[in-house]
Amino acid sequence: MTFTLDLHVAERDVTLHLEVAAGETVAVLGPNGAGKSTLLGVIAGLVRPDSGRAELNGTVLFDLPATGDRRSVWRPPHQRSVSLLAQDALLFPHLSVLENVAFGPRGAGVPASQARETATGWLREVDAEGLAGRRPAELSGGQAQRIAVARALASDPGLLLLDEPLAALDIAVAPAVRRMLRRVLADRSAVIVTHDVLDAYTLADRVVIIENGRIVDEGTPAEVFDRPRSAFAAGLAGLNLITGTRRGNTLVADAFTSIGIDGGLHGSGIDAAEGAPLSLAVRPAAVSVSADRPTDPTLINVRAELIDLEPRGDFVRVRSLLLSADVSPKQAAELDPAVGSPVWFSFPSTAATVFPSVRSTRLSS
Amino acid sequence: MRPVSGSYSGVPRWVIALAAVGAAFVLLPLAAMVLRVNWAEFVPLVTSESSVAALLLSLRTSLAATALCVVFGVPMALVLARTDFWGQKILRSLVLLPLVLPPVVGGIALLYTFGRRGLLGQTFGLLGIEIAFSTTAVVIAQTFVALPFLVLSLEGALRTVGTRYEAIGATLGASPTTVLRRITLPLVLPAVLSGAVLSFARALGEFGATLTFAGSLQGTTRTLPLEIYLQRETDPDTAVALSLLLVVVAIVIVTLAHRTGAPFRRTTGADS
Repeated sequence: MTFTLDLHVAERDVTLHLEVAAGETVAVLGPNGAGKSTLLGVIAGLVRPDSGRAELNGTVLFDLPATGDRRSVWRPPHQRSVSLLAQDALLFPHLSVLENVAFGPRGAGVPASQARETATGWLREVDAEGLAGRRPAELSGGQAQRIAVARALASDPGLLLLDEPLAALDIAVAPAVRRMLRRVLADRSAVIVTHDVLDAYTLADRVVIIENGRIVDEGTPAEVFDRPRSAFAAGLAGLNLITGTRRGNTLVADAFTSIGIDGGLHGSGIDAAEGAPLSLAVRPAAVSVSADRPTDPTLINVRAELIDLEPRGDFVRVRSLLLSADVSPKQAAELDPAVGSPVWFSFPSTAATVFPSVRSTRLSS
Repeated sequence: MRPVSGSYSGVPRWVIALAAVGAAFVLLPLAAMVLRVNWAEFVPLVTSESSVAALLLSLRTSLAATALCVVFGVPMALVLARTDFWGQKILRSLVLLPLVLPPVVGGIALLYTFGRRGLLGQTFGLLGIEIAFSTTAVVIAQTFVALPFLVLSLEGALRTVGTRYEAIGATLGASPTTVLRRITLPLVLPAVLSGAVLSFARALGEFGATLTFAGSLQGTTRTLPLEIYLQRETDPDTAVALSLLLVVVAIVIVTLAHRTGAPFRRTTGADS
């Protein structure tokens, strides 16, 4: 384990425990205000938590005990070997591209010529060697972010922090920068904050979901997004998530809804013990909506109040508290008078996955 | 900010009329003075022994005062803009007090600090250092009144630049001193320069505090403004000629300050 962190910020009600193994990239996802940026700020040394402890490769970054039983340690940012890559490239406007990248080595006392050599190497690594002589003002957003990556890596950090590094980029250039990031992050310890499932799938070995200042789920991207344990992850993955308890051969979601799980459903939850918390995931595209209960016995039917119709390009999302369905605009128009009254949401049992709500084993670390 | 010609400007005519009166109010006295200059005698008047002595003394002391303003003003601006401590707001107001204080009052305050029987003057006196009514006193008086100009303009620039670049620099392993030298100061260099130019201008025009605290000894403490005031009684032609000289210097300074005070832009790449 190269990096461990325990963190408590009372003012923002954040309590987190995070570990990053050598060479591992961890993606942190969560709703706005969940404490993601605070997390990076604390690791980088820019935000001071109330209490907590962090260690990187055997060096204590900070140790702020909740009680006064031991002396507190607070290492300033420049002594942490932790580089931060922000959403904006934030290249120093008065320095050339090459000098920007050479900034870290120069600050570490490397002679100017050698620092430039290192910088040139990193510029090559991010496919930006030809930009060495330019000023930051002469760069496009994608180019600037490449340089910022090279600059962060040139300081040879023990841990690299990335705060939504692709969020400010054009849709057209983001994929190329993402590929470049995947290459340079491959064997590097890094924490990346993102709101993009694609970032998590392509860049991260492990995903951590933070909600309201707590870690609510973690696992490989596939585990977290295919069998989500949080409404937030389910939403990111575009899945309906119904949580409840196993009672006999049904998943009891609430007083009015129970779903039979013995007919054609698949997933590890089929074998769950009586009374175990159980989740069911199904894509909205597999769900259909009708005013009368369908007669097809292979369908699972859930009765719920139609809350609203939300146009999404070439389809319309029909929402209830329990389930959403994607239907054609024509069908949505027919459903419009039914808003506010109960309708039937139906999906084939083969389209749903049932799994235990609590992840039984943590990843091997 | 220059309005594009042809676009809607929305300035009422009566505002333009008032602005014209204001501009005339500033420009007319200058014109009146220029009209009053004795051009035939101009060169001999401004090159007389006492005039040259006053001019050189003014330039020397103002440069020294500007240097002191930079040496102490830059750290003051940094502390005011980048740190947070109890009583900071009060401290800022007090530090900027010389801006609004009548210079004569400043001179009296300095006299009771560095004068022979002043707060620090007695200590200096024991060491055999006499500050009041010396050239050092002129520099101190000028620094006292000019310092707020540099602190004020630099603090504003520091707040505008923000701390994001500095934070990134720190996470790249640069110590606070390295961050200051390689990031903060280069970013606010235009503000340091324009602040220094303003301080120099204020020092050059200093009159009240200098007269009170340093007196008016030719070659030692009689700066150009003091010389002008003195000559006004006996030799108005010299006073007008020297005044014109100061006006020219002031115009040069304002131009310089305007140039260097422009927002950060480096299109030439002269640094690499």
